[in-house]
Amino acid sequence: MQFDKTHIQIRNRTESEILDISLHVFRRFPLQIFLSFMVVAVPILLVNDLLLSHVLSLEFNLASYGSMSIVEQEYTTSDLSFKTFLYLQVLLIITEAPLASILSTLMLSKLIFNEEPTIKGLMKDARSCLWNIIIAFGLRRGVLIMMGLLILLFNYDSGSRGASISFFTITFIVILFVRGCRPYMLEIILLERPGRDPSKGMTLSQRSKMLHAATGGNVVGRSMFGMLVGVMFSLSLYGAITFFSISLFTESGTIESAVFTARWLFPISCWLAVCYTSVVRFLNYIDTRILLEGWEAELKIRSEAYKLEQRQQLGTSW
Amino acid sequence: MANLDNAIEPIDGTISIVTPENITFRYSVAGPFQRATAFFIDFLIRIGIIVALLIATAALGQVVGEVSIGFFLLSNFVINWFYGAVFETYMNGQTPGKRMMGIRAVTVDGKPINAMQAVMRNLIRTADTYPLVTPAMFGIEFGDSPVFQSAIIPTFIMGLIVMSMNKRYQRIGDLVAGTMVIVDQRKATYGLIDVRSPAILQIAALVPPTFRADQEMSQALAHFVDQRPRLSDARRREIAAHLTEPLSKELGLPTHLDPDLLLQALYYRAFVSDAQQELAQLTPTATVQYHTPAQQPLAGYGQAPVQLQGYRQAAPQPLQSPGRPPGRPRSGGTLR
Repeated sequence: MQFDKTHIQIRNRTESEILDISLHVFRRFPLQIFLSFMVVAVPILLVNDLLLSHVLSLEFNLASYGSMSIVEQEYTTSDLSFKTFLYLQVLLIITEAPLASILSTLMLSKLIFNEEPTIKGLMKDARSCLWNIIIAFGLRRGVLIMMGLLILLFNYDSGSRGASISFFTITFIVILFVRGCRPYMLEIILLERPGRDPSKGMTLSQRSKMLHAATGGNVVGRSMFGMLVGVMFSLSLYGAITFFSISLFTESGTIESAVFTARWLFPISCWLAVCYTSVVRFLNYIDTRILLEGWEAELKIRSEAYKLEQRQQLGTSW
Repeated sequence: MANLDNAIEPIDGTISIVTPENITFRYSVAGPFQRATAFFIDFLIRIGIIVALLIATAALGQVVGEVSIGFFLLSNFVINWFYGAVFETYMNGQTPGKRMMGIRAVTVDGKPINAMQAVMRNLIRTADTYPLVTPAMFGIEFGDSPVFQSAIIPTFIMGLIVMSMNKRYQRIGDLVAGTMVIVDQRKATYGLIDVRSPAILQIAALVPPTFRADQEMSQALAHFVDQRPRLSDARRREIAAHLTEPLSKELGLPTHLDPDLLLQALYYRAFVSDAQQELAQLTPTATVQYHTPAQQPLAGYGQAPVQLQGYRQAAPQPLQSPGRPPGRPRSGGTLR
């Protein structure tokens, strides 16, 4: 890895600088980041819809909903099921967000350090870390647990909906807390490739502890701030996408299908925001390592060493 | 995949402006998220002024009747549309929010903005807030209150997209007025660090008097000394060794010296002893002062200040390198 041949200037940045720089990174590599993210996010979006669409259909028939007048739809959107659907969708997306950014994180790591990655190559790289990903994200960070809970709690039982939602929410908060304390787990798995055998080098938990413990509250604060920005960004995007979809595709100038908006436009907005926050998280991770490993200092020192060597070759000195 | 150009300028949120005299100025450009805080502060100030006006209008209404409503509407219009323009004209490109956040609007040439530019960039601000949505679109209901039902919420997506599309982070108003927002000041992050220990002073004495660190070398040394407390011993030596190898050859120093100590000794020479000598030549009675943190004067990064800030006392260190090979970095690995 050559710090002097990167697409991002190696130096420590503030959180707001990182949020701004992420936009620049997007501008420079829009297709690469977007495609690599969507390769994973689209299947997850479809699975989520499969898991959640029945929450809507428990209370009313989806097919007939589309043909309702806007007054009837507005009446129905205030129904508990509709709000439950959106609420569960948000919790699920936040839980799955790091998992969806596997390929985009790998893509960024290569693009930033001047490599030319392919989706096929990235998938091969991701496969080599599959076990760690399943353990860390499927179980410890609860993606599979949340999906399983959805099937168990909401598929067969509509009577005790309140209790199910509460249990689901508590599980989510626990998962969020675990993730908030160690936000760079995905980056460690994908980019540092820790082994499972302690005798052959540092394990995932050792590396994670070393990175996160050294930066302490700063990491948690940044993680929470990034999540807040992500939520606000997704709401803004949802508003904008809904606005444009109404303006371009409807004659009435109002929402013609609240179900379509909720089932597709809302999660798409959320996933687009997750795509952006994945870049922010990656740059935050790089920033943490710049700080902990002295990359910026190394770059300056090496630059001076290079100049000195050049001067020695030319035969000039102090 | 994209064909990557190695010569491409790294992303850093900065831009260079070359003057006709061929002098290059480098500005750190403020992006949407750095500007958002300033915007929010200004928004709160505007709300405060409007609330004060509302109270004044109510009081005035007792005296002059319905005319006070006209006064309020007119004042509200002026404050909402000309708050930014007036402040930026008279405060050299800054509003109170911008001043608090240390950012400033300037022209794309780096010059101060004029009144016309200030008015233009603020009048077009509304375009950046588009598209506007209503709470009903999100399925949010506020009871029967007509005020909340008709509330319009800006999404700022238009502004964000436009700002993302250019490297100066210009919003639509900036593009029209030919302005940009720069970071006005960077806080000094480096003070002098006390590296005096017997081992370091001993090595510093070995460095020939001909050694003079130029500005860039001083910056590199300052940066290393500032960062080293966060690094593992092995990592410190690994970084320092890049420079100490050619430097030892250049200065005729023994090759077995600990690279970490040698760089600290050079830092001491560059920032303390040489600076002290220079000062002593200028004013014979002056000496290097060590201050407690409460008395800290700000020392510019890369300069050779004559006063030392609150310092960390280095522990006694062995003169020679323990000879360990450079080990694993502190966080345990490198990107592949």
